[in-house]
Amino acid sequence: MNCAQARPSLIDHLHGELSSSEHAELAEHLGGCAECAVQYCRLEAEVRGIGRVFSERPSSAMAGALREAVEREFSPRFPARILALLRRPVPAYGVLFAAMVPLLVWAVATGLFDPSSGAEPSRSRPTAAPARIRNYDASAPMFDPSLS
Amino acid sequence: MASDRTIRARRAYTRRVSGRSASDETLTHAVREGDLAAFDELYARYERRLFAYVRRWIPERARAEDVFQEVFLTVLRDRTFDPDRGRFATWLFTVARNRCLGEHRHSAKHSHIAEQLPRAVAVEMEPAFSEADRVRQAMAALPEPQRQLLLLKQVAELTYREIAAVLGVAEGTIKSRLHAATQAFRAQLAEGGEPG
Repeated sequence: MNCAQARPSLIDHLHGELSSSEHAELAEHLGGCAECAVQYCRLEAEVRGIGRVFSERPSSAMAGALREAVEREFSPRFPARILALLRRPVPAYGVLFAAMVPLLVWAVATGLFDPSSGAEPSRSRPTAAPARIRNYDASAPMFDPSLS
Repeated sequence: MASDRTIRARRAYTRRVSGRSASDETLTHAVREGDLAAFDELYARYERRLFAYVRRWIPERARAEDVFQEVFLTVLRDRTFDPDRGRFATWLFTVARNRCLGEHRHSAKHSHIAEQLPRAVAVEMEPAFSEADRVRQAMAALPEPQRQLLLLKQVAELTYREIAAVLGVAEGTIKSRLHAATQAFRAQLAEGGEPG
């Protein structure tokens, strides 16, 4: 690239509108040509001055008022909030926990696990039926007087 | 009302969380769903660019702030703008330009020409002292279309394609017009004296 080709591209280069190959060519030329580099620096200083001079921000009071207006207008209403809550993706551990609930209910119902007994369920449960009394005579005296 | 410090803290938090990676269009979607952090981010990106642009049309600061607020809300409210199909910046500045043009026409109709004339002459004859004054004078001396182009490029920071969409002309036309406007501005600046 020579100076005659480089000069018209300086404005596009300043505006960041050159393709990557054009940018590389021009950058190489500017690196080797002091006159074009000075031209570019002058152009940049002058044109960037427009942005500097006219740059202005709105007041913070206006920013706050606008934010409040956006909040008032776009905050979801109660039913929409509930719907959004229901639409939220459920994490994997949540699914796992939910799947364990019916399993737990089934285990308790079938007697595999008794939550009231703690760690040793066999102690609270009688292991054998109570001994039965046979040949009991209800008319016999309670105490034998000959023995006293 | 939120203080300056609160707003800055919110913005810093938003930047930290979002990492500035979300596009304007994604943020617009999020704002419409009630995400205020997305609004803070979008506002931070455009407050200076949009307000400076509006301010060049409307000299009165309070009125410019009203218009700025209206434009921002209009774009967020307008459901005909589909963020998936169009660029947010283009839409925002198109709405701003139309709004400012309407405001400009309205004020021109209601103000007396005789009141404006001495002010225009005063700007022309006023000696330029600082660099900022020289830039203002050079811009004031340009024809309106050239001034608009330079403002859309340098103040609103739009790309050639975005400017073409805002003004409704071909991208190549914008490129050649912007070249001419830049040369004209530099010529006006040189007439005002050497940079200090």
